[in-house]
Amino acid sequence: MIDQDVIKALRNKRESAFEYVYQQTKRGVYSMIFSIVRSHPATEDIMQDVYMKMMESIGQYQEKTNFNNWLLTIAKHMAIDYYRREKRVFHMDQEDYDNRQTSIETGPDEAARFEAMLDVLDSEERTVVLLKIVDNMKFKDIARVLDKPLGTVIWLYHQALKVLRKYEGIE
Amino acid sequence: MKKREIRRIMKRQIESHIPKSAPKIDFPFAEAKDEVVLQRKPKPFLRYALGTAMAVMVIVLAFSLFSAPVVDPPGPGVLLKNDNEVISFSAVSSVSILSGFSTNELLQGQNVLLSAEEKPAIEYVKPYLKAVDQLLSSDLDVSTGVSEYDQYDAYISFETRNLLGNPTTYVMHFNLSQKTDESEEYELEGILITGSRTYDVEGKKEVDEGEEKIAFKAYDGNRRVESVYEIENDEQT
Repeated sequence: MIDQDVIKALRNKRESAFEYVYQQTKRGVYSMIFSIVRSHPATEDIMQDVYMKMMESIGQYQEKTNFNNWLLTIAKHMAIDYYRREKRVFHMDQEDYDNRQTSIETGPDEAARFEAMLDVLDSEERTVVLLKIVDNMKFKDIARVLDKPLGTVIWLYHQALKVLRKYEGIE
Repeated sequence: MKKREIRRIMKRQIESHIPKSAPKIDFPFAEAKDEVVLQRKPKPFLRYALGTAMAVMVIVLAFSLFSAPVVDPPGPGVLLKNDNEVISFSAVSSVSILSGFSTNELLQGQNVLLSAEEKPAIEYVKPYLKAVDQLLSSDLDVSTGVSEYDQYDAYISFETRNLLGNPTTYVMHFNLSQKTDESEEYELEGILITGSRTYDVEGKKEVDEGEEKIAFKAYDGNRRVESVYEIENDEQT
């Protein structure tokens, strides 16, 4: 848990505090960035920038607010900036979809399957699903970070799982 | 593929790419030796107190589960405290959508038109989500007892504000049955009365490997509203 002692240590530029915060937040930060940029190398680069920004801006963090949400908001904005700058467009046409479907049926490796799953979700669904599943975040925190109503976030999550199950031919 | 399998793949794929150590950033960290204690271990007394409290809680929970199976203890991330509140909330939200004002009025009020124009599905659902958020943020005043109707065992009465913000009382008379002695599946059937209107309602509760699901349906002629409540990883949805 990142409490006020940890924040104080961060403000005092303690490296161990930085390492601790990283270990506590890396899943959420990675998930947030990856859901937007969809590239592992780019995610790692942006992650570095996010933690640099965190150290530079720690003085602006308001105590008694959720630190994790604050950091994820930084990650979200930096990932969006990167995405806009690079103008990366991830497009999947019907042929790709069919190929993915075939490869899944013939037993692809898990990474390809994972990519295929992400392809059928839109950006918002990806973010909600990854934050929930990888970082085990509460829906109310995801709602705050994404600035969306709680009900919308819950709906997006279940809708995404429904789409994934349908895509896998279960429903 | 089960939801569990989807979650497993996603988690593993992302975690396998996350760098294990913090990035080496060009930042002037303090040179002094770090002596910050980042995780406090609970004192022995605290651990003992915690252990005792947990034991008492387990006994109380076990007692309450056996003596009153309808009522569940609150858990982490709880919006609704027990099954009574879940059922009440489901009933209120379903019947409010059925009765409070028509679907068209609701959608028009939110500037969502029911036309052939293509919109993302979320646009059509938003007014309902807003309505449910509104209900979640208001208090439910719930009371239970033996039903005055012969054909039903129990009743739940709850008072809250409807989607238009007016105070409204709902009374549901129902029977609750366990499917088999061994299973953790319960079924509910009954009627829900609000004002001069009566709705048929039915519900189902399933518990499977720590995941709990309560589905609730309310009927008004040919129209039906179904709400599904789930606890997944200790969080309500």
